[in-house]
Amino acid sequence: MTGHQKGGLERTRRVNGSRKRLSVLALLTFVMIVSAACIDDLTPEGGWSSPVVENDKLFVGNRDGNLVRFDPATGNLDQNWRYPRGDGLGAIYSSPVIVGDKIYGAGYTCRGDNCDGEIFALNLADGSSIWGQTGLELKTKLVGPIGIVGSTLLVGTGELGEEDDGPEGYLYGLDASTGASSIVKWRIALDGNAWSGVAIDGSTAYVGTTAGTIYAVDTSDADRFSADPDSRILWTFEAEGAVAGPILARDGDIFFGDLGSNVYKLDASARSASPTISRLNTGTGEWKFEAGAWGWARPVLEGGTVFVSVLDGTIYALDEATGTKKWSATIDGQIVAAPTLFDRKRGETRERALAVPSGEKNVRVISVIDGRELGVFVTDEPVKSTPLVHGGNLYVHTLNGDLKWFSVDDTNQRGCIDLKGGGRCD
Amino acid sequence: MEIFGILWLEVIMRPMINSLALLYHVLFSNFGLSIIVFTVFIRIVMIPLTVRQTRQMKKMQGIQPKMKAIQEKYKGKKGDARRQMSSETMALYKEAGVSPIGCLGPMIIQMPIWIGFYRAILRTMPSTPEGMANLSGLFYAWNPAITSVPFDSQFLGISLVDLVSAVALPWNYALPVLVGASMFLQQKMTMNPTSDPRQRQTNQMMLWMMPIMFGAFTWQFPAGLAIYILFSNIVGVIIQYYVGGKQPVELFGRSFLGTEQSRAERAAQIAAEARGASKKIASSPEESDDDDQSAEVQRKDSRRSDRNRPQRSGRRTRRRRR
Repeated sequence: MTGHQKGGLERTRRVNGSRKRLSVLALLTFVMIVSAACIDDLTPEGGWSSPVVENDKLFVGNRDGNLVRFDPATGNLDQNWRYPRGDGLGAIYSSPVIVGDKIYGAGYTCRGDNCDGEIFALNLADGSSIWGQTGLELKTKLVGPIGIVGSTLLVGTGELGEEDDGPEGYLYGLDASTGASSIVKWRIALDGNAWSGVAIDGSTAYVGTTAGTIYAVDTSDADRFSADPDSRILWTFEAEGAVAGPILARDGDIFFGDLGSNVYKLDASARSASPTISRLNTGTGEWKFEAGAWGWARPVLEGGTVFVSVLDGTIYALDEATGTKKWSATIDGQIVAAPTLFDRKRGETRERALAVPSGEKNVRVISVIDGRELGVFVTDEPVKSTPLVHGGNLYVHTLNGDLKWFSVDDTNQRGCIDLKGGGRCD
Repeated sequence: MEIFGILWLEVIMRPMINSLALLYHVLFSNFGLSIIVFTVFIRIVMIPLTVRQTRQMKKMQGIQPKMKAIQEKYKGKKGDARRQMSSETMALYKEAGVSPIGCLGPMIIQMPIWIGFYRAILRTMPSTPEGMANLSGLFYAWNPAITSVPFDSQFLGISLVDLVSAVALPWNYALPVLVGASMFLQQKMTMNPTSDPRQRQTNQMMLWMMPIMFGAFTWQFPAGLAIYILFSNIVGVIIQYYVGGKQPVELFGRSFLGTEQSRAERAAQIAAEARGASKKIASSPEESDDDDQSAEVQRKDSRRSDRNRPQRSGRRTRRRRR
C-alpha cells in the first residue's frame, strides 16, 4: 500500500469517526451563538451617562447602573458615595440632574421588553435616598434625560410592564421633595416610548416619542389640571420619523432630530398661542433640515448657530433663524451624544471649539467657524456621552466604563479611573 | 479577520435586515408576517442545498448494507486489514457517488444563513438604545422602511422582542411545544430508516434530543426567534415531504400522508426488515461468538423498535403465525 493510499484511508476513518461529533459540535455552536446573540442584543449596556459637576465634584452613572461621585482634586472616586450601595440598576443612560442639595437620576435593566427601572432622588451630601430605601420603581425603560421644574421631577418612560394594554409611554410628574405622601403627582399617557427624555424651558416640558410625536406639557401645579392630567398638553407636533434623542429647548424654541433623518426647529411660543397647528409652520420661522442620517444627539446652540450631529458621524452648523447649512464636517464613528463647546488654546489666545465624541473612539476637536478638525483627545475607546469641561480639564466617560480626563490646552491625558471599582487605568 | 467581519456584514446581515425591513413596510407594518414570509423565502432559496443533502443521505442509506458487509468482513481485525477496510469503504463511496461529508456540507453552508437570520431579526427590532443607534448604519439609503423605525413588535398579542418566558400568555406557553413538535416531525421525515442497530440508536437519540433541547431553549428566546424556528420547521417539513418523494410519515404506529405507492413500498420495506430480523434471530445459535453478540444487539434493537411501533409489530406477529 502506498503512502498516498494510507493517507486517504486515514482521512476516511477520521471523517467517518468524527461525523457524529461534528454534528453535535455544530449544534452546540449554533445554540451558543444564538444565545450569545440574544444576550448581547436584549440587555442595555449603558455607558452613555455624561458627568455633571457640583461643588467641584463630578457625578456620573457607571455601566453597572450605579451613580458615583468623583473628586477631581484627588483623582479618586468617593468610595462612601454611591447609589445604590450594592448592585447597580443595570444601565444609566442619562445624566443626573442637581437642584440645590438634591440629585436625581434614573436607570434600568431589561431582557427584551421585560424591564426593571428606578427613578431615584438622593441627598447630594451622602447619596442617601430621600424617598425611602429605594426610589420609584417602574417596570419600564428609562433612557432619556430627566427634568425638574420647581418641586416637580419630570420623567419620560416606555410602556409599563405592569400594564398589559397600557399606553406605549408616559410622562410622569413626581414630587421631588422629601416626605411627600405620594411620589407620583400626575402622569400623561404618550403614544410611544419617551427615549428622548424631557427638555425644560420655563414651566413647559417637551418630550418626544418613538412614534414621532412631540408633546409640549404645562408642568405647573394649577388646580385646573387635577381632574384631567391630559389637559396639561399644550400642543403636539408630528415629526416624520421617531424621536429617540434628546430635545434642546431654549428661549421659546425647540430643536431636535428624528429617525427620519430630519432636524427641526419649532417655535414653541407661537404653537402655544395656536395649539391646533400640528405640522411645520414656516411662517413663524420654523424649519426642517434634511440631514441624511438619523439624528440622536441633542443639538447645541450658540451665537445664532445650531450644531447638529447625526449618526453617520456628520456634524452640521445650521443658521438658527433659517436652518440653512453653514458648514458640515464628518468624523469616524457615530455621534450619539451632544458635543461640548469649549475655549481651546491657540497660541496666546483662545478660540471656541466643539469637542465631538466619536462612537468609534476619541473626542475630536472641531472649529466652530468652519468645521476644520483642530485636534483630538485620544480616548482609544468609543465615547457615547457628552464630555464635560471643568477646571481646565475635559472629562470623558468612555463606553468601556472609564472616566478619562485631559488637559484642555494641550489635549494630553492627565488621568483615568475605572468608574466601577475606582481603580486607576491607562 | 476584519475581512470576514465585512463579508458577514455586507453579504449576510445587511441584505437580511433590509429585506426584513422592506417586508415590514410592504406587509402592513406587521413584523411577525415579515419574519414568516422571509423564512419561507430563505427555505425556498435553499431548496437546492436541501435536495442535495437529501440525495446524499439517500445514497448513503442505499450503501448501508454493503457498508455493513465490509464492517462485518473486517470485524476484530487490526493493522493492514483495517486499512484494507477503509480502502474498500472509500471505493464504495466513490462507486455510489457519495461524499463522506456530503451530508454535512450543505448543513455547514446553511449555518451562517440561519445564524445571520437569527441576528438579523434581533437587530431589526432593537430593544436597547445602542441597538437602535447601531441599526442606522445597517439600512440601505434607498430602503423606504428606514422612516418606519422602530418597528411594531406586536404579533398575535405577543411582543416579538420579549423572551417567550417573560409573559404568561397562552401563545408563549404554546411556542416551545410547537417548536419541539415541528422539529420532531422534521427530524422524523429527514431520518432514513437503517438496519444498523447502533445507527438506529443514534437516530432515536437525535430524534428526541433535538426537539426537547430546542423546545427548552425556545423558552429563553425572544418570541420573534421562536416564530422563525417554528415556521422554518413547518416549511422544512413541507419541502422534505416533496423532496423526499412524498414518503409516508410514521407517527404513533400509524402512517400519515404519502402516496399509495410510497405507502405500499414502505410497508414492503418494513416487512423485509422484519423478515431479516427474524432470520437473524433464528440463525443466531449457529453463528460465531461475534455474530452472537451482533444478533443480541439486533434482538434488543428489534424489541426496542417493537415497543416503539406497537401496531406494526402486531401485524408482523400475525404474519409470522400464519
